[in-house]
Amino acid sequence: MPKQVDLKTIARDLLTKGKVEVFIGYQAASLPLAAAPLIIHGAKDSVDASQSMAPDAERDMMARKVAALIFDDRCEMNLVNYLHKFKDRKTAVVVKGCDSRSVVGLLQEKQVDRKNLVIIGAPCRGVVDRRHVAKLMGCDASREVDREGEHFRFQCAGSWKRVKVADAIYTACRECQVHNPVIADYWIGAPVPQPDLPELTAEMEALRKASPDHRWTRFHKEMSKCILCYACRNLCPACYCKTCFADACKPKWVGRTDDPSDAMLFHLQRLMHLGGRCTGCGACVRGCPMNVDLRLYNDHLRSHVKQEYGFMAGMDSAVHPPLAMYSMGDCNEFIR
Amino acid sequence: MMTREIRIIPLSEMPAFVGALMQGHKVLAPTRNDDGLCVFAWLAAPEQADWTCGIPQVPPKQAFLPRTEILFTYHREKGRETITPPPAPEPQIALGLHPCDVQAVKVLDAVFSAEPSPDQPYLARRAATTLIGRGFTEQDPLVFCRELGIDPMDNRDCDAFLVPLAGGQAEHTTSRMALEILTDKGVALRLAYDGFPKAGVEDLAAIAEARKQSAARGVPLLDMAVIQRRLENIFNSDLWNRIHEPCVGCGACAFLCPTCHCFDIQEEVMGQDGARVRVWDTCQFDLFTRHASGHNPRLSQKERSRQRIMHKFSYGVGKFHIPFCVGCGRCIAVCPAHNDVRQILKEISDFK
Amino acid sequence: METNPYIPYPVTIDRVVVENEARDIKTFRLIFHNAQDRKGFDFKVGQFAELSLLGFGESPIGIASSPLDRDYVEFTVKRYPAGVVTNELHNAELGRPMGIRGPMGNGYPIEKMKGKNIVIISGGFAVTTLRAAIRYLLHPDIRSSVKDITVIYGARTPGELCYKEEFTDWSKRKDVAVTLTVDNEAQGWRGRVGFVPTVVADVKPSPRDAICLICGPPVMLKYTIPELTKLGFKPEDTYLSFEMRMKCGIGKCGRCNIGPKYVCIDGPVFSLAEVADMPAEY
Repeated sequence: MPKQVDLKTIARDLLTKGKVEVFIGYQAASLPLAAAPLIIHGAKDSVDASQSMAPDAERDMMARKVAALIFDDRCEMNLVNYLHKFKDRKTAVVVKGCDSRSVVGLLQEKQVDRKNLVIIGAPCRGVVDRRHVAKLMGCDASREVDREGEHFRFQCAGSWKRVKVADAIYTACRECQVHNPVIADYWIGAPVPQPDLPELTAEMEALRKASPDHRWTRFHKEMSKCILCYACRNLCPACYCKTCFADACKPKWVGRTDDPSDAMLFHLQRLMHLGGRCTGCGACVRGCPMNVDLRLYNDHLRSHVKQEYGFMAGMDSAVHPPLAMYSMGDCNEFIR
Repeated sequence: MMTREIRIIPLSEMPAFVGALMQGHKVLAPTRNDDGLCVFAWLAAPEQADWTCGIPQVPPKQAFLPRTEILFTYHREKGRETITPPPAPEPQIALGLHPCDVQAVKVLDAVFSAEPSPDQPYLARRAATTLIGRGFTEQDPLVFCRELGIDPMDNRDCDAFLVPLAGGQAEHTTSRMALEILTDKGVALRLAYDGFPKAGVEDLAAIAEARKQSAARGVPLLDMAVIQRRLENIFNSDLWNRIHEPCVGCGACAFLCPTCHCFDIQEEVMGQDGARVRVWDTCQFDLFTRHASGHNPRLSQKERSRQRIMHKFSYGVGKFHIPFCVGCGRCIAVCPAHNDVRQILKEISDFK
Repeated sequence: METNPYIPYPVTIDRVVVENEARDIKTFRLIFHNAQDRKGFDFKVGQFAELSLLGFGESPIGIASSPLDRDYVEFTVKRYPAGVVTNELHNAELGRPMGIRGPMGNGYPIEKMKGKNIVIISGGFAVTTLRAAIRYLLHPDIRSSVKDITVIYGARTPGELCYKEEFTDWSKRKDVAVTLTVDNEAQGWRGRVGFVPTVVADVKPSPRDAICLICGPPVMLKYTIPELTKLGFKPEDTYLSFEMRMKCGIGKCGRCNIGPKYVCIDGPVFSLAEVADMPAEY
């Protein structure tokens, strides 16, 4: 069990003693109910960007940033994605349970070096879905929101409305099976209890039973929302290909028109690339500006990988992902 | 702009008005989609127009620069090729635009009408468009259009303009819309508005009061002239080394920006037939500037983030005397990393 | 109403010349389907055009022929493995229909060049629009409008020199001083050996009353420009031509800017004085 520490204290310690060059955490965002990434460079950052800064000013800036660090139920981004940006530098990153599985995935795929990582684990009960809150309250998402104990409160069309915090978290969080980080050097909170969840959610059961026509209609509708901004891909820690198939022009696999077939092709290929690798962190869903429900399809894929191979991505860095290896026991009914 | 006339439309009668506009026009208006999200979309029925929306997350840009626009179609045979220009655009109405979205259309106009080669497909579509703006008395917290000199009650550059009026006791709730007819294109909508009463003396006073109150509100916090001057000198500054760091390089901000107009030209081919189409593109993508040789002048996110800010707040102003940002706040709402352009502007403004 | 600037003029490939030993550089001669289109395609030396292949796309390429070559236009195109259009073009047969859009860009400062000594320096494949300039300046109607013409052209190997026959012809002429060079000794090569910057320092073209046009790979420019400065060439009298990824070619699509300047409409030709004011993002 890793040592429990205070977030700001450990950040200050790691940065000032030169144990890390970069610290990646969260700060309050300018929007209500949202947190933004906060990237802090230490005194010994080998690729320090602001070389022209006086050492005093630099220390002040670092101290100010450390003081701005937060961790709470607003911290939705999966910061592991930023590790690609700081490759080969000593980096500390704050991870929730789901995010920690992305770290394991990157270790399995040799995309990060454990020696360069300090993992700050953050036990988590779920993060708030800002847009869901707005929908529950019937107002636009950018209004000021108050927090009153276990409720959110805000003014909407002249009257005050209340929503329970527990009702306001993402679906992915409600279905989360890993509230506590699976890999960490320090913890910044006490472990939270893990609720018992059914193997398959009711939604997934229903989807599996639905007719192909019904599933096609739903898929078509979701994909019609997509504007191909690639936020899902760019936010996904597992999407790190140097040249994505979507950016290839010879041959050009995917067009960029508003015909839903372009979005379908993009997402289907991306889904297949994520088979057995997606950890279900939900970064793609949270970052989508058009509310495309990619979660459903990723969940579907994950449930199959679990059923066929008994595998959950990002749980154990010593285990090879099923689609990266072959065993005689693999399901093979599809080979005829 | 001289107001030709003003009509009063009760909110309950708006579907009738919108329905009449839909006779002979495609109408783009704020609607709520199944997720409850406000978006500009082409109306299938008049009731879809939603007057409770603030600034819809999807801008009205698609009316002028569609996500996919056919530049021409073609047919290929061995040794022979024929090109067919696209049909002339249908008459259309962009309805319910916030004054900042109207200003965004001015930005597009500036770019696409510029010499030496005015963009005929854009201009044709623009000429076929009637712009009906809409005033706002309340300001969404993300909207910073006043910083850019845009008053949310300003009807400039519109063919017609809706001013929301509160009725009777319920002062905060809009109960009527005053429709200001401002141009010949506006007058051409006479069939749609003729049945509604002309504004009375009290209505005129209410409109004037709304404008007066709007003008008195909000002192800009940022000096855009200072920002523009500073940008001219800080291209190589360390400032950019940090600003881009949270950015993940997606296109959400650009695709949902009402002024971002950069595009790619692609081929859509089916057998012997095909079309050359223009699709939205963004300076945030690596492919945007990568040469066929592999060389890329904007190699990392740093250069791409800088390009976005420079294009909006420096190059645009230098070339067309109009910032390529209208302060609608959409990019703040959709940025998955919550990289707030207002904070970036503040950093630039404070940078020594 | 304006015409649609995205619709290309129909043309046919009339002649193809393989320019180099690596066979990845070819010159295409294009004939307009409608003679009046050639008149409409009224270009200046140093301008470029979008070569259009339906089903494949477009590629911006400098015009390699002279405006006085009235019956056709020529483009010299290098094939890149990642280039969709350039590959298809290289595979094209004679008689293949295609399109061109243009002319685009500003071109070389022809008016300013009148009555001046002209120095032209180039390396490798970048010579294309300078070949157009030389052809134009050596035309009997034009030659007398400028004074001395000095040309220095280099390539890695003799096989990589473009327009070999023309350069051989020009080398024999009295009204133009041509120096050809290759990077290393090669069998059968009787010209100079050495990198372009060294040869420039050696030939010492005079900066007096001179306009210099220079095109080449980045590394050649990097070392040649200081030599020109040493010789006394003024930045405002030295011009180079940029390459950028482009799509529309008419200042709309937003990708080819270097700072506030759009290479497609403000360029591609800029003086070194203008370049000095631009950010180094190219």
